[in-house]
Amino acid sequence: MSWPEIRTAIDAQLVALRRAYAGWLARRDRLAATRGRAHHVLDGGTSAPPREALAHIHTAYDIGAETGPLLAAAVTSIEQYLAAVDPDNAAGAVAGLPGPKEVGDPHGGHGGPDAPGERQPLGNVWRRRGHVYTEQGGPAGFRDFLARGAGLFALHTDWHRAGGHPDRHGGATTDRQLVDRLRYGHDPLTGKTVDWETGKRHRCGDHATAYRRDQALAWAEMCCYASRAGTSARETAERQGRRAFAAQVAACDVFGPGFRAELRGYSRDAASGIGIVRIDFPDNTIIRAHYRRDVPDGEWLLVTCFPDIPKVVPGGEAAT
Amino acid sequence: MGGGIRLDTPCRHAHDGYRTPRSLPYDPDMLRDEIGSVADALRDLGAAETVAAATAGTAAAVLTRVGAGSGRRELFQAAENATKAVDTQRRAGGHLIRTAELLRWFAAQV
Repeated sequence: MSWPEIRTAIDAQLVALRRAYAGWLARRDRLAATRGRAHHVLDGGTSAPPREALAHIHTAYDIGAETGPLLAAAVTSIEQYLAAVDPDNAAGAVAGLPGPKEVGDPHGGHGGPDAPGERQPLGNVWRRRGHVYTEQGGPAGFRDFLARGAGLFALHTDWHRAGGHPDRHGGATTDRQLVDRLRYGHDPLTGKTVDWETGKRHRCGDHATAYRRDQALAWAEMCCYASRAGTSARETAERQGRRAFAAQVAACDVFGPGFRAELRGYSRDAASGIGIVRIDFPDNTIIRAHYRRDVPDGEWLLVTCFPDIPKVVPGGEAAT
Repeated sequence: MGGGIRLDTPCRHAHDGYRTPRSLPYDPDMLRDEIGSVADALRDLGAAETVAAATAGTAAAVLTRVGAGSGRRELFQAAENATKAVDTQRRAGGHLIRTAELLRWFAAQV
């Protein structure tokens, strides 16, 4: 569903439930009055039917007492949803957002004079406007993001570059850099074995992957963060005061069944143990995102977000 | 009808301002009219409750459908509460309509 469709559907139900609540209040008063009239008319009855009728009216009144709070709770939940997903009623536009402020400490900058210098993380000002895209679901949300999310994409890129290093997996990362990363352990940022972030030896797993365009990277991160798994991991980390959390989602949930068109990468040749082969991404390809923060209650910064292939462990189950 | 309802339980509610049973009219026509009037009111309230249940049911269905694509919990919670409201409205509406039918029958006996 597109965001306008989602919003229209939700707004309509919000109005309906508010009216239902108002209707319940009015009926409640009428039922109370009718109950009084029923007593007035039937209290003198000595046979069973009048007393049974009165008992039924009271039962209906008692059962109905639960309805109003339930309707009110439903309304509140919808209002909370809209307040969280589209708090500014901006439908994903960036107009009116404040400029990002610096947060935390500068990081990275290792690798010598030719490597990019250290970077100062920036606060996240765009997230509150990004939910309307992820709420549309994978392919539909991505299409909408590509169509009208340029402002948000620019803010996302600045935020990611300041707090992490999109240079390893973004659209500008060359195939040569990916291959050198696998073959020689070169950090794409430094062109050497020195890790730009830590100054230590750069590490790389079995795959060096990237997106075909930076918009895909931004979108993938947004989906990881907004996913139920991401939300749960983040809330757990916040509850426990941790400074890092990771989230992963299926690539097909992010980009749809055509997710391979957005990804590229190389693997070490598992058969020979030598050589590098281009990845034919399997159906269970995932997107991983890693977040950190400098202080326990600080803002979450994106460290990295990359396509990955779950490891196959003995027994055939994919490890994640 | 109304299994489990104790007919010997005195009313728990205060109804100040109404006439006591001793002052009830004994004119059968007047009593029939009054019972019929209460039955009509209960029938209308029961019908309204049933219509309201349908509204809440629609809301629950829409919110469930939209919430299925959402990474958030709020819409599911809203749908869940709307579904519970449907249940209470149907039950309350059923009681009222059955009570109206009972009073209609009773009025005919007066």
